Amino acid sequence: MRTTISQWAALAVLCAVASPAAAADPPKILPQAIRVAADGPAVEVVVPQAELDTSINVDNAGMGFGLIGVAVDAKINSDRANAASTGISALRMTLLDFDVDQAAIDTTKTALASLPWSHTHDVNFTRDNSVDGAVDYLSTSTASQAAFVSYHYEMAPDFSAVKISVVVAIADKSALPPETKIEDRLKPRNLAYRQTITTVAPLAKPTTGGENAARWAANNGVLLHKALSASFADLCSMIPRTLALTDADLKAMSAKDRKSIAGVSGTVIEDGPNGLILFDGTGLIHVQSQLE
Amino acid sequence: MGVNVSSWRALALAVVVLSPSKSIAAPLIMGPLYSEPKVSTPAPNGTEGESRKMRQATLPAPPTCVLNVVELSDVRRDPQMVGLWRSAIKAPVDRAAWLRSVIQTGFRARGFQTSFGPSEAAPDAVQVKIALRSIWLKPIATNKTGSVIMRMSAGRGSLGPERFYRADVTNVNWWGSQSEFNDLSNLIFARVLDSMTVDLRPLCPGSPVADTAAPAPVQSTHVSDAR
Repeated sequence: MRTTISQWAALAVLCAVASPAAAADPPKILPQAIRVAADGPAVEVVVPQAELDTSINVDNAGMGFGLIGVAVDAKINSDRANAASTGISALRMTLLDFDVDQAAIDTTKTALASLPWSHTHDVNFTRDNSVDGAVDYLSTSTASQAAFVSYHYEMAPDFSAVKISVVVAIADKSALPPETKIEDRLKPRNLAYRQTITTVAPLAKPTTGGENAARWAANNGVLLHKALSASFADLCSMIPRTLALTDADLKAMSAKDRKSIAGVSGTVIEDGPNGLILFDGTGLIHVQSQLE
Repeated sequence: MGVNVSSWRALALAVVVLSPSKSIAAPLIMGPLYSEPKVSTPAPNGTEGESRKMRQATLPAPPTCVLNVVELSDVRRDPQMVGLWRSAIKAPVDRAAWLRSVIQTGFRARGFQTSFGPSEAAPDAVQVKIALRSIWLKPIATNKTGSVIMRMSAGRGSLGPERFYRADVTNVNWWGSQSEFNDLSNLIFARVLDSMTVDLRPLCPGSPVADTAAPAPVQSTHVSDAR
């Protein structure tokens, strides 16, 4: 959520009269045209952060109470942001020798190499996840398709788990009329494919945020290193598994029973010694076994 | 639905503020050069020992202390990017000049003279090798936050071991303007320079400060600025 104080106030005025328009979702099944393309997509790995991120539960309960409500929300969110920043600093220090960017690049290469259609080229790396950045890459790429593999790694608001989310989005230049503007090719309705893959490494028996953070940071962050290494290794198999899903798979997964755990929820696809795999409608979520 | 004039004005204001106009979505370019923050920052959260070190860092270095920067590098992946706010937050076009100004202006404000390159070395100069390892600015709810990590080795005669210096600052994101984020980056650089100064001052010839404590492998400061 990217909001200034001034926008928050304006949003309070607008919320009663505006409603978000529904956007067309891109396909969640990889089109056959991509699977049989001769050259395979150009691949860009996007890591729009330099350090382990922290998240907060954004408070907007005051939105319906005018400017006073907005001010209360802003104070609550400011306090939560400061508390999260305080707790995350020690964890970030322990990751100075953990090259997450390289792990993301290696994971992408390994995951795509296992797919017969990908013909993986060298991957490009960027921190820029803006539309302008993607337009630049798409317009300079000579391949007919471009795959954007975007990573986001963060701690849960109460430091009870570390989570990596990957969004795989593929833009297919050849599938749209030639006159389609480059920026329009990146609009959700024009993407050839988009799926999210999430892996969650939860702490066993979490308590308070401060204590949880201390457990991750202990012994120079050995538990955090272990969680990140396991999560990237997990993504090496979860990404190709997701890309191989068929329409029948999605329908079958959506029909199963739902479950909530470690801050995520979805229908249960697998429940075994390696953890739980859920499907939340946007993609697969692997909640790994708890870390002691 | 009854709507009075003031409601329409408020609505118009809201539309203007929330509309992603071309200028709002354009990348924010930092710099072009570092400037020392004018407003003092709150003391960082930390132990009494850290606070003591920070107070010492505000003292001027001995007047003859020269820092000879034998190497200044930017080792970041994708060095044009320094953060994200609606669109990209980018480093100045002349990144070398920007980084050099951080060292030159920042250490001058802390009582050092700086020279760059081995040919400019004074006989008693403290030699330093500095790398910018990371800088990242971003929003978090209604705040903006950022961090800087620098790596430095220093010594007289020969360089000592490399150490990391990290600082982060979180404060209110009022407008999300270029100057707001630029001020934030300067503030974080200043906190990192404070930490580096603590380790550099004892190396100066005739330094009155004898810091006998073994240096930690990393220095980290966190500032939550409510302004």
